[in-house]
Amino acid sequence: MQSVRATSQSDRDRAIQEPPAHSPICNDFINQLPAEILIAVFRKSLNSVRPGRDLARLGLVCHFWRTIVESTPSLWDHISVEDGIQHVRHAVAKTGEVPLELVYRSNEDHPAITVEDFLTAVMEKSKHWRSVEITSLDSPSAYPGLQSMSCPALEKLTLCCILQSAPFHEPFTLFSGMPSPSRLKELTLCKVPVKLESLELVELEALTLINIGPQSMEEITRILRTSPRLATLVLEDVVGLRPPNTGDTPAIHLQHLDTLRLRLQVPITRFLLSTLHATKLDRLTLTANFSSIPPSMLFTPSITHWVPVLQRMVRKAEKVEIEFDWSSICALKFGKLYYIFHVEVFDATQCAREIMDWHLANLGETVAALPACLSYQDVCPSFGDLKPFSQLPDVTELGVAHTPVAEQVPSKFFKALGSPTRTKPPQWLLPNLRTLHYDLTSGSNKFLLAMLKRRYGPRGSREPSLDQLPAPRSLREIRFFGGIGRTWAPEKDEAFLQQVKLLSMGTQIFWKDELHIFD
Amino acid sequence: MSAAPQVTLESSDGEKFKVDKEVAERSVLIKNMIEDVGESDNPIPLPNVNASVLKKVLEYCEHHRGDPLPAADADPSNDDNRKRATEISDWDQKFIQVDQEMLFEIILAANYMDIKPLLDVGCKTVANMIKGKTPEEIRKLFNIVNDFTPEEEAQIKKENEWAEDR
Repeated sequence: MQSVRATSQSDRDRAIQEPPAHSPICNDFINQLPAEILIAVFRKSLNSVRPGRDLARLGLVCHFWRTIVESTPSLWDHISVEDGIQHVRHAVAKTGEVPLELVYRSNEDHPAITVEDFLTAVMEKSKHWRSVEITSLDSPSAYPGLQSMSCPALEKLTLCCILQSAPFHEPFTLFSGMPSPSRLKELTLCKVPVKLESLELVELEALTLINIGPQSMEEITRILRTSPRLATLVLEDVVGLRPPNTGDTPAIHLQHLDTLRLRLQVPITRFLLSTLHATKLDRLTLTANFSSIPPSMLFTPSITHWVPVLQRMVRKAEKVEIEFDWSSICALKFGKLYYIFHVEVFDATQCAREIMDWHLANLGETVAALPACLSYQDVCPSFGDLKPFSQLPDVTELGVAHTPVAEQVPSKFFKALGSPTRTKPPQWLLPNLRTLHYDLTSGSNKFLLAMLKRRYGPRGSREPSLDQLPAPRSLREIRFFGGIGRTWAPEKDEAFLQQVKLLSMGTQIFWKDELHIFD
Repeated sequence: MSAAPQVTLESSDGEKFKVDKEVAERSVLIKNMIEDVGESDNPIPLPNVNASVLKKVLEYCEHHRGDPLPAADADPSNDDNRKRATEISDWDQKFIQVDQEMLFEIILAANYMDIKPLLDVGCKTVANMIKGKTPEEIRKLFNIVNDFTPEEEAQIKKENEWAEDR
């Protein structure tokens, strides 16, 4: 069987040649399994965080198990700093020629073991490193082995520094400046100042570069051009990049790219969008900070080649989600097409409308047919904020949430929903609204009741002029919840919910995701 | 519409099972035998599998008859496989809820008949039984005799001090 076959022949031979030092009793079924199957079982039972501890336990069961554990190199191939430096050295001695997976994650349990200690302990096997994952709090001053050896078997390398405030060390070169390991498929660098110049990544399938210190656009485009198998590309907070000044840059065709995530300065994102061609893209996330450039500029370069790709992605979406939050972030999500914009100096509503307009104009019916969901987090939308979205074909959901600390009551939001426009003829804002998500900071809200009465209340119960308006679609549901994160809620006020039900003409009411059943 | 081609399997205790060829061929051993011998009315002997175990194995093969066959070069040691190391689908979990004797018989049969996904389910089930248990709990669970002398046990525990919870 394959899982058993994958264990090396030498492992099996060794385990099987060593006779079990005990005589199994008749119902000792597990020890009647062939050693190769027992090895497969042991392997599956190992905890990936502390495999060494599990191996120690298995080796204490009986002689047979101890023989298998101690003589099977492939059981020791996952070496984690969580097991302590003594185990790391013990495991290295056991592993023989098998490819190794090394994991160092900063942890309060082993504060004394530095990245340098860990890598030094495993350095003698650098020829067999298949996967190295180093996640440290601070930026280590050195990565022994990775800087001085060529690591020819390496397939996956992750170097991350968690503390964003940690100072950068001098940029360094990986693999002793030699060409990168020819099998390297996955490279993740986060706040680690690696020099990219010498990296040649022809087999690379996933590249993530986050805040790795100043880099040049020439190096980034060189890597992209020479990594034809790239399927995932993440570039975030890479500084020092400048779009080329001269002439047209030849297109970069990434035929296997299915995931692209960019969080870069707007001119760089524009340049990459105009240069990259990825016809199989399935997931796109763009994060941009519009501090000096209007949002529409993102779409002004020549990106017509993206239109069929975006159309295909949007076609899979069930709705357009448009979110605003207190920190001037505006997000638009069309299924797997996701934009996150920081818009301190621009009007967030205007920004969202510009993006929507671009999509409506360029992607046509695929966008127009989608229902839209508007969501506000710690932002109380006014009449002016909601009005631009009344022109969207189908805003069916609206959500308002706020931190329950300040007892904020979004009165202007309910006044807006309960007031007709001054257009001729007048009409209701968001006339197709079917679902209202509302975060109650207290047990009841008189503004909500007033809005329901004006907008949905029975004829004759409200101002006569309102009865003349074309009725909005009836509300299907109101979903009450408490606080952002939906973990909190005030005490239920049955009388209040009765009034909501009455004024909304029988809409379904949910309280923290459960349908409220009236007595 | 013609009926699906069938084959007959014969267990070690002589019981015969007529099953769809597609179901029987979930076993690489049987698939290879059919390819080597060609179409035949003679039963295919399975001298290492008794009737009760074969019935159970065929129940598994019947349920998974349409599943894609596992890749021949799947690497059990890679990261993704490691993460999925002990995940078992709901149906498989119910299927493998049997006594220990039957569980290990199924594993041996899956190994002999070369049915990798079934072997995998069996190994995962045993692995889940082992996970998080002390050596003594494992011995008790599987009826394993502690054949270490007290001195040996003490020595190993001393060597393993690093592995104690820190």
